[in-house]
Amino acid sequence: MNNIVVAENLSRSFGRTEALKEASFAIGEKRCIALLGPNGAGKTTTLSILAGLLEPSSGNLKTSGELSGDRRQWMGFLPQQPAFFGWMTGRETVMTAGRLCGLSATEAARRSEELLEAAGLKDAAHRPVAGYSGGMKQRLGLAQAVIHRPRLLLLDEPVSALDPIGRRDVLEMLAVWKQEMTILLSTHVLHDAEQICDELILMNKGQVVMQGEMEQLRQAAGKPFLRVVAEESENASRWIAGLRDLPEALKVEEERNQCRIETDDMDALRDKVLRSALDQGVKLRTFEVGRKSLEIWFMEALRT
Amino acid sequence: MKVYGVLLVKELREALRTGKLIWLPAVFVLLGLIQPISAKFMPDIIAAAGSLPEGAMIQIPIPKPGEVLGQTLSQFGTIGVLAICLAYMGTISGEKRNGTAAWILVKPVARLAYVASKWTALCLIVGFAFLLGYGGAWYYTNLLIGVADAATVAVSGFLYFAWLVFVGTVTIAASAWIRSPAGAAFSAFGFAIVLQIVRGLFENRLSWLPSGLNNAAIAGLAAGETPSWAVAASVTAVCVMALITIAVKGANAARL
Repeated sequence: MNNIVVAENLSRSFGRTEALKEASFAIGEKRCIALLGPNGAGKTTTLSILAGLLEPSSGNLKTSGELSGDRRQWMGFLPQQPAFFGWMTGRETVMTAGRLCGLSATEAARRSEELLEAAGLKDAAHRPVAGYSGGMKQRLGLAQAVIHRPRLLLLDEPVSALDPIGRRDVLEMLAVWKQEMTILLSTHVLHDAEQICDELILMNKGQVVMQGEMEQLRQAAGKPFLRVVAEESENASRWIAGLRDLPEALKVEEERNQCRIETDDMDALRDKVLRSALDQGVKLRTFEVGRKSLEIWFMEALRT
Repeated sequence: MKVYGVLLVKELREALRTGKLIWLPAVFVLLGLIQPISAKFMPDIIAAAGSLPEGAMIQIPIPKPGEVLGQTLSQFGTIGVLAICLAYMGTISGEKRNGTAAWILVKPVARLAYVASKWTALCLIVGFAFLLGYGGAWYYTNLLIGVADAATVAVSGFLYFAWLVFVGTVTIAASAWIRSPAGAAFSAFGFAIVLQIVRGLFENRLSWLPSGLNNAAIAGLAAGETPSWAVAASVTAVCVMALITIAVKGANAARL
């Protein structure tokens, strides 16, 4: 995998508070990476350093060879509270952003129309930004941040302040864009990260706790399990007691009319359990396949 | 260079939409018109006030055209300068505070281009305001009082414009470093006033100060012959460049 940015031992302090302590991580190409951590973990500081708004007190950033020079040229950034000139219209905002990023006037105009359409702001494009709602501003912020087709898009809490509909809109836009560029977004909500990100960088108290693929972390978080609940009867109790003997069952917790089975081979286990339930005429009430959630793992990781 | 142009367009558009391009010229036009009109009609105004005893004789000589224009410039020197300080007091600090400076500076924009676009917009807007105000004063002086010497009027206008630009540059530099807009306006305005006073106190030794331009402009109009101003102009040019450098240093997006 190609890394476009590698951070080595980044530190930054504001006066006496150390916002970031020796953070090291790598950002690969065409991925969606979540910078996850509770408030005050150093996420915004990390993003500001990457965007070039802050200088690190120590440590350095290495960018891949082909991307030498001013990194602002191939980066897009959206801060936590996107700020725009209230007197500009939506279209002017996106146009100005494009022109400042070095696009020609015609190219900027073409991209603006495209992005305003994608952001659902076509009808509001001629209105001053001062009258936009929070969700509209966020979508406008996203549109203007990608106008120059950046290789790396940095988003600080892009969905935290949005209502469910605004959140869905933004996540949908990001899902499309992550095929073209790397997206690094910070969030304190694991659920948002799980929805679109491939990779996770977990931060706490200014330090990087761990970095890894979302799927790997999910695997590491715990084995998949099957939970069944049957309607109470003698038959059902006998059936549940018998599940213990299935060869796929690694660990079984049972309790009268319900049980929870951990396994490595979910497909085989699911088949057998369903079939035997039908054969023996057991009335199932719940049949659930799951995994120990990252949420629990996340809480544990932060505590240590 | 391209980015500078884009930012300049943004500055001018902002000045137009937020009304700066209207009220700043309005202030100068008002100041510019009052002086010649009041100079011409002062005797009538006093007579009409009517609180004079019967038979009182007032002889108010109507001033020479150059003097009227000089008085106009003095008016610009207080209220006009204050208006400029107020118009530009938050030009950088305001953008820093609400995050729009960061919006610009996360893009591949040199900080010099950012400050230079503001400075150019200042020159154009103040130039426009001053041109209207001074032009109006000159027109009404010609109409009501008499014809002033065109060459002196032009030279004085240029010198005074340079002084106004200097004050505006001080305001921009102050707004890059001072968080509160009122603080920036006060520092710049206070600085301008102090410069004028110091220049007045040590007339012979300190004519090279930027405020020397202001004095040369007014003295030139009154006497019909402009005192030497080359040194003051050079000092002002150097100061403007230094102030722009200071503003560039202060114009980082990090919170103050």
